[in-house]
Amino acid sequence: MDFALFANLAFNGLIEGAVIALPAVALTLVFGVMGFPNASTGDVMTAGAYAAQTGQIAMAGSIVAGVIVGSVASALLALVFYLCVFRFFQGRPSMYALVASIGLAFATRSTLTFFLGYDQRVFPIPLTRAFSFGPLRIVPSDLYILATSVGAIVLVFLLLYVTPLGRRMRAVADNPDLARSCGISSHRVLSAMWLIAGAVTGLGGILFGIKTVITPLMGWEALLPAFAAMILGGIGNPAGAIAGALTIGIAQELSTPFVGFTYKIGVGFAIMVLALVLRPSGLFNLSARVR
Amino acid sequence: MILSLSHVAFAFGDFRVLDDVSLDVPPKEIVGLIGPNGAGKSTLFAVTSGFEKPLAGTIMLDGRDITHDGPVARARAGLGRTFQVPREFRHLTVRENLLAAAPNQTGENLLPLFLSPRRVREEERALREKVADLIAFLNLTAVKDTPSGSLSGGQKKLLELGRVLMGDPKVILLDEPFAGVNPVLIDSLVDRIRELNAQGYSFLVIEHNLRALSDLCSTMHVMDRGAMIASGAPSAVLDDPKVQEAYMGGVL
Repeated sequence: MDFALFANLAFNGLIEGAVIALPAVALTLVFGVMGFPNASTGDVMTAGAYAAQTGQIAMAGSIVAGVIVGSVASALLALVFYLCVFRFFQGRPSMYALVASIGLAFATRSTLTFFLGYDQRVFPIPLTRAFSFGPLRIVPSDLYILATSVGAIVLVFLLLYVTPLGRRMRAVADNPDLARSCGISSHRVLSAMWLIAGAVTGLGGILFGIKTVITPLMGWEALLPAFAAMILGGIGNPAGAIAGALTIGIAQELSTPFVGFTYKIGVGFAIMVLALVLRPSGLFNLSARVR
Repeated sequence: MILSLSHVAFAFGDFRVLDDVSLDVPPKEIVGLIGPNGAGKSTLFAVTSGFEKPLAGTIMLDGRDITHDGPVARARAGLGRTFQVPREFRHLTVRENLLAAAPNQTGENLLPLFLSPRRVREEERALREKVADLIAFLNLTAVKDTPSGSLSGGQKKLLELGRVLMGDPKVILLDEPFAGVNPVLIDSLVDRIRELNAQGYSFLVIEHNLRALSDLCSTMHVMDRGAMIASGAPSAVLDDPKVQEAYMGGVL
């Protein structure tokens, strides 16, 4: 166990954290505005990954086209979930929406496996040779994953904090009754929010699929660390969710020499439990938050 | 009439809160509404702004029946209101609070935001100018970039007034605008309301500070236990024995 090993583990953890940050941001946006943990987030990731892989093959192998197809598909799926289900649970106890979201998660997964089976799939992208950067061995595709994730997150932050739409989203998240008395139609604002959350979630699934493989359970498994990241960052705080995702990604990877690959996910949970006990409002309770 | 309530009734369960209440706000006038605690004044505001549905009666805004509209539609039709305990988007800055309250922004929808960025940018520039003027008018310049949750009570009342003005209202409902506000700021609030009235805005004001209110309004209505018990010029209303009985048990 030398420095180079840990440096490489940390770098890999950074990439995994950057991927988990996407569903974590979507989770925290939805929780901040709608007030419930959306358990269907993981399976929207999976759906996005399958849609992207199918789209990529249909579009003559263009991964960019695949990413666009997958993000749009998952955005629409999330919007449909809102319009057909979550809309009706507003102002009711959050347990209703949570249970409904678990149901939607199972329904999504069953539908995917019914049509596509349980086989693993991979994105048909050419293998690239890793290059050395100091002690690090870096695969170029990891850099593309990192850049895509950072780009998507910057876009979400610009939307939230620079545009009139984002201002209204934050207003609705802040005080829905007051928003109504200002004539803000929360329905329209929330539809846009679900589209954005869905696109970001799907992109997370796609990047996860590129980094590893696409399986029907990939999203469900990614949901748990994304959830931990949201809690670690303070619910409703997008910047916190990103910091939480990076912390958990890096901590999980750094722990593998000690606990082994199989149990690294437990480390993410240990961190979340500690955070809940010591600082229930989140470790990264910054001023920049939607709620 | 800019706002006209006729024979409005409302109940929480079996408890009658409003019983056959009628009230008119003529254009460009300030109308006062007083009454002891629990008289039903704030409930009347809730019914007027669409947050509660009346059991009976009609509500007309500038000649249009809005009785069956929800709060969003009423706000868009030109009905602005403030709250007894001031409300604000507390994580948004003062400036963002005012910007968020402006109606009909192109950039509030996802597609136009990307498809017509120039129009969004031009609207945004005009809006920011309007907001800057309003912030100066309300003496909130020093706190314009402060998250509104950390403002003082009086500043929040001013911000509420500003937020309502952003919606280009036909009538403004103020729920206890002077409660918890220090005397200097009350004078400033009274000045702002007078100035806005001179510009043509109509007001309906609930207030316990009778001196400030009777200076301000042309007509005063008094409610007690859900019913309207007196209406007229402020001095006449305050001398009415029925009003004194309701308000102070007879010693006013």
